[in-house]
Amino acid sequence: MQPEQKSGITAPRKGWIQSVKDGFDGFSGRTGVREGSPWTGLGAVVEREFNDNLTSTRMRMLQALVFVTGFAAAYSAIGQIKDVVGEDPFVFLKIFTVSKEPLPSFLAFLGFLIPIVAITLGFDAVNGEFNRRTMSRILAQPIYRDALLVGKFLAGLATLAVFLVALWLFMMGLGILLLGLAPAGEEILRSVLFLIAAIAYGGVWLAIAILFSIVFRSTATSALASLSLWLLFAVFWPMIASMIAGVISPIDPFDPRTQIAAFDTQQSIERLSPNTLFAETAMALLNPSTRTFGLVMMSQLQGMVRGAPLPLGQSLLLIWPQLASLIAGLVLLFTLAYIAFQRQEVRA
Amino acid sequence: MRRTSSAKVIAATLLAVGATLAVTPPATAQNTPPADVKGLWITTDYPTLSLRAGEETKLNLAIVNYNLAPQRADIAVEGVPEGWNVELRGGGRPVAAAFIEHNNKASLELRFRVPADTKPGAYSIQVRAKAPDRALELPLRINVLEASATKITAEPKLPILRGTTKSSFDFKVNVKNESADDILANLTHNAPRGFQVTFKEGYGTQELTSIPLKAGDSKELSVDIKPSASSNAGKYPIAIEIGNEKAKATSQLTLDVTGQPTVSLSGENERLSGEVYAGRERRFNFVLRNSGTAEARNIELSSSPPSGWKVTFEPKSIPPIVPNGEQKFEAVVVPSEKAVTGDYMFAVRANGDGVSETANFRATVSTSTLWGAIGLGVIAASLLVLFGAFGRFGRR
Repeated sequence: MQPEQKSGITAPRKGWIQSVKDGFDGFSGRTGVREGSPWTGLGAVVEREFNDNLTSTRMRMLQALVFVTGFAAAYSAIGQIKDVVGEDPFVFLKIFTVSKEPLPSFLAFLGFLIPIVAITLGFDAVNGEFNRRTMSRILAQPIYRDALLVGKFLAGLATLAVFLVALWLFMMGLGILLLGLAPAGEEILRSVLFLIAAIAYGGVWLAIAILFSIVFRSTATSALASLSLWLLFAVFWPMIASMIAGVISPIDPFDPRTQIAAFDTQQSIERLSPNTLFAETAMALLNPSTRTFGLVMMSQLQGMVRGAPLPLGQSLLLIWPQLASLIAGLVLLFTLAYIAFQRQEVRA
Repeated sequence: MRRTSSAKVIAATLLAVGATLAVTPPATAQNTPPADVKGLWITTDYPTLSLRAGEETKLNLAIVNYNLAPQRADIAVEGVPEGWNVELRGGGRPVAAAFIEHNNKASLELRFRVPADTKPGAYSIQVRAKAPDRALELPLRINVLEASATKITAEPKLPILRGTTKSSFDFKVNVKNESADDILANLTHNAPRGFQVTFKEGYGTQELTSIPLKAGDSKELSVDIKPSASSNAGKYPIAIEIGNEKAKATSQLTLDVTGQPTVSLSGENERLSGEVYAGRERRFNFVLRNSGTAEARNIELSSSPPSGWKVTFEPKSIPPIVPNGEQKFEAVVVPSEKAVTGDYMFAVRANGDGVSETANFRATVSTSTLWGAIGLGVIAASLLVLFGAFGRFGRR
């Protein structure tokens, strides 16, 4: 940091609007309250971290795991498609969603494994530096803390993106090879959007992991905290959601409206989990005939053309709240991490 | 004729055998001759007859022996006009002599054909038989008449029928062969192009192109005519011709085709789909076209929308549509507030006098892009918070 730097928070009584303005000024490189751009050295940090991430042994092991499971799931899915599906305009997307006992679908694998990859990338991002006693050395360089944290986050996100794009290409190649078909334009578009949703989903978990790595000084604690949160959302959340829904809107067996209300409450609580948001997003994108996620009344079914695929725009509008929530959640979690990091004493 | 004569020959033979056994077979048609009649005669049923030129006929002859010893007689036909074909047959074969038993007769057959070019007039032929002690003679007189023209008549039961272009006109025609000859009559017609004419016999099912008519015979012919679908209203006379090159009968049938409205229902630019938003009114243009041959009247519009949807029409009642005319109307569609995104299908119907048409309309319920903007707003708000944090917590 700068030699004449005063430790502490700038202008405690500053208004929020002024803060946002200062933030934009800093972002766009204009010198506001700070000397020099806060993003100096960002590129270097991203490059180093990205390099470290890609060459680390644990990432390689995880990648191998994901590729093997992905291959197994996709291979069995393609076998199933060849046996079962006669004619489908979106046969390529089925590689992601079709499952064959005992393996779950590729999509289920991804929903499960992306958080683990993200946690692996982020659980020791900050406290690892403290433990190796390298934090003060890094910050002795002429870079702001902002650049360090943003750099670490962006590098993690880039690693995730590279990993997921490679996986996506692998799946597409496998599909072309084994199905003998080329994917149609809309299939490519839909799977690319799915890729973006997967990156956003991974980003949420990366932000959580980095937040914990800032909050907890021990890497083991932060790893365990991230993993228990992942376990909570991946396994226990539906049960907890139905429990809480039962308390908030109890079901009167003689009033069907309370059942609908209970279902709605449960669904809203489930959607607090990034896993649910990702699962719904993927469902709407990869299964074009998905029309709604809520309860459908008999009266709504009348006259409906079953199985007709939605146009891509409509599918996107259907899951836009979920996708927007994922992206906004990612930004907000990172903001929390940023605030926590900025308020931290680093010269321990 | 021929069969009876041969039966007689057989009977005669039987009698000859029976005489030796002193048994009279019951099958014999002979009358026991009176005792005082004695002699040999040559007889025939009709010694004078009339024929048309070109005809062929048979005449039964018999040589009778009453109370004389069995004897042989040589038979010859004399005075045959030139060109006539005369043949004497006995027992189915040409013969020239016969043997007549005691109190019995020998049956013979005289066949002759009169050439078609024989002049009308009286001709005489002698049949002579020569026994050892006597000669017999039978003069035959044949009046040749003028060859008659063959004649067929065809009488429709109901010569004018009325119906639409879609109906089948089923005429019944009574055909009679009034000549003396059998005829194979061909069936032809002069129906306009596109009309389908089928001939059937009576209530039969087979289609015919010709019909055999025996002399004096009459048959009921059924003539089914289907007008072409595009024929305009009006009267269509159709002549059907029955007969061959010798004789012909013509029958005039008239189809009184009344028009038929044919209405087609389609969307604007032939489109039967459209985008709607849940709970929001949307208007779609439809066109009713009358491609038929009569005015389409009293057309009512109706639809069967999914539950919670409202579909009304403007105008509510459709004015009569002239042939080849069209009428536009609007369907006002209000989807249910709770309609799920995606495709819904409902039928739009037009029912009128003799007209019924249905079109399925596919309405795609879309989500308002407003929600997309709200989502973007959420992301923008989170970014604002982030930049706020950058500004507030950024260290100097």
